[in-house]
Amino acid sequence: MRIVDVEAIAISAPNPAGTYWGKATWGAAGGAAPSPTAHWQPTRFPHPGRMRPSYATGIDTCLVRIETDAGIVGWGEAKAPVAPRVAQRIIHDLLRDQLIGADPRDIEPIWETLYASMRLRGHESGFLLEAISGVDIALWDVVGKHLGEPIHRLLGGAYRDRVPVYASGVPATRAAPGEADHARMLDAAAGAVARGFGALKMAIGLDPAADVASVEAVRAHVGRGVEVYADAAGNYDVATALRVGRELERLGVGFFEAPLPHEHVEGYGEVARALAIPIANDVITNRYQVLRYLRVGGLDIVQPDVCRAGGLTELRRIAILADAFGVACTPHVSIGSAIHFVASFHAAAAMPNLVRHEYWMGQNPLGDALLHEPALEIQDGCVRVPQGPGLGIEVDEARVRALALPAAAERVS
Amino acid sequence: MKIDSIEAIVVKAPVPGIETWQAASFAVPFQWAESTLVKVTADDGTVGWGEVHAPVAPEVTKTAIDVLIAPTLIGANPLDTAPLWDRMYALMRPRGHALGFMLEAMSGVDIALHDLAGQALGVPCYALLGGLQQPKVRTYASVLQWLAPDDLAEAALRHRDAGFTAMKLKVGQGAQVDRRKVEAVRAAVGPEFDLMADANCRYTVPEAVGMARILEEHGAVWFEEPLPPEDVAGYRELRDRVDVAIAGGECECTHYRFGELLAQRTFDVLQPDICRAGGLTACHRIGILASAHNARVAPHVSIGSAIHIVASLHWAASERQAFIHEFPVFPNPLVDDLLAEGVGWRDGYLHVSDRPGLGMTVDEDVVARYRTA
Repeated sequence: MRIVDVEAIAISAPNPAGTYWGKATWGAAGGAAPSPTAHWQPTRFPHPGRMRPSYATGIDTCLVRIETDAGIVGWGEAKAPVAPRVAQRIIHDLLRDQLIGADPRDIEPIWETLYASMRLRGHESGFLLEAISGVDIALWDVVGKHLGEPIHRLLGGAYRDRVPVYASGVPATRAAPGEADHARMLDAAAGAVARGFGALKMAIGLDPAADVASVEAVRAHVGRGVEVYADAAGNYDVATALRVGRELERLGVGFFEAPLPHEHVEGYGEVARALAIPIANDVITNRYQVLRYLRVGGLDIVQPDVCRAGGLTELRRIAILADAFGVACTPHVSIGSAIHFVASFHAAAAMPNLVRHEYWMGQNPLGDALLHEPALEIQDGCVRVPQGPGLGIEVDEARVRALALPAAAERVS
Repeated sequence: MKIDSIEAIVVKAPVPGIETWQAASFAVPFQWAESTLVKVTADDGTVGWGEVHAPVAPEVTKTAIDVLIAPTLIGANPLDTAPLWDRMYALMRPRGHALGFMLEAMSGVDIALHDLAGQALGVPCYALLGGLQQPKVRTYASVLQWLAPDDLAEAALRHRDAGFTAMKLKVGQGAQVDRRKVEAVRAAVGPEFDLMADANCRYTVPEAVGMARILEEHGAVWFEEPLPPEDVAGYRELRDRVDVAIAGGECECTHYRFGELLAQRTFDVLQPDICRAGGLTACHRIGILASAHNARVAPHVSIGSAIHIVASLHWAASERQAFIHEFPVFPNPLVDDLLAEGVGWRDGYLHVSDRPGLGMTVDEDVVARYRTA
């Protein structure tokens, strides 16, 4: 079997629910800033401006379609919540020539070849790994379809046929109890519980006092049977992380995600040693980066994203590497299409050290809307892992193509 | 003063034989001398030039600049180079883009902003980085191909005759072949000429120890990138076991990552690439850390344009830790023809210009000749 076609499709859909939860917490507040540097004015440390990411105006991503001479089509996804045309260019200009003519069953040699194309130039994370992730997932889909088995069975077999998920995310607020934003926060949490989620994650990292007060309010509101997690998105320094972490311990929070900027590997070791609450991180990619954290004892939970960390091939390596250090895995998805979610569910089904899997609880215009049969329904806090060949889903290609970005139409904020 | 436009320009120029270079080290063979140039124009018409290190697939960084960076920076004051660097870095920071295409794209924009800022203030870029430490920087001839021992010896003599006092050769073909290369070159040039060896990450720790012994025997200045870039623990072990200086960092980015490498004492000589590591802002910060750790700096340049070399030189001229500078020795139209005044290399040294900004007169006809996107 040979690969005959590789296509990357950058897509964008309007967000039906308004603002994505990450953007609501960590993005630009209140629309366009008066100037690109206006947000530097507040005096705080660590400065929030140094952690203020770009968000798309819609829900964007980059899908990958690989076709073989056996007529099999595989689908993958490169993580691209903004600027999906960058991953598209990488796949078309750098990776495609290396893939055409290759046997898609040689998944690991292909992975190493693609990684080697920029390895000596230090592309250990970022756009290249995201692009490789999309290709890798599509190859697993091809091979699963070829063999007539679901991907999780090819990854070593099923530890479970249902993956427990937690709801992302409930933004913390500076609003006081009784104010509209505070009520919205509590309603969002209660809504997740009503849908059957057994756990939910809060977006903190605004300021320590408001963060702790928000978690405390939500914790009390949802009751004892529901797990609460907290994600600071790298917004604290060590001292603040310790101070907030003690409070999160007191509140029985299940894990503390991204307390520090990811560059501060030693700091993760310091925080993890000092706190009893499990420390997690979602942005580290590939086994080499994860190993740096594991060596300093900096993580209790790894949160690789299948569409960012290097695809199913690398996600499995990361999970096993973590397992060797006694570290658990809760795969990250944040935002993405049904292909992203389902690929990650297959990995989770085959993962010995899975705790829970992330699930974006917003209304996803790229979710079941891209499939002929739904695959993302929540039942009793779990998602059923598709049992059909490959990813086990049927992508609505016409719908995908209808969402393809026309040239130069992307907008970021 | 405000940024009016940011244009990313893909250029590709022919270099005879480039497709045969280091075919064993890189999965994607070189086809051209390729690069992404960056042109920033302010509302008063002032133009600043920068460059992204993009020896393959420059369309990728052009796309990142077009769709992600440019829309964020339009309207900003170009003199705010450091806050704008942090603004660019934050765009993808919580998504883990600590190096790679994002940092490369940022580097090009940061350099162009410095060129613009220097012109606006009427001072050379090195003055924006704290002032002139050295008006000229010694260079070494950098041979980017794997050559046979006799050809390397001949090249060394040729470069010495041209004025170089040092040369770097590519090794990594196994101890036997590498030994013959080092011996042949040393025999040809004698003891007064400096040699460096670059393994492009092709060794394991025990192999690298063996190679280090050969280099120590022949008085090499440094042993560059002996191990894969991710193997920090291996570098640490190697540093403990050998005497020759270990050099590296051409694939690394930002003061964050260099800070970690310095704290772990992996390298004696840091080799940041100005068009990859994050531009003048990042390299200036890296230099401060290098000084605090008493580490030397030898800026990396390889396949790129004259802008790459001149930007790197302005950093080196302001950076006391910089003791020597790479200089690729192959005919490259993007280096040889792009600037009216050339890059300032003579008698084995790069001489920095004292004109405002990067002091360049970019020949836009040359840009147009090689532009593909």
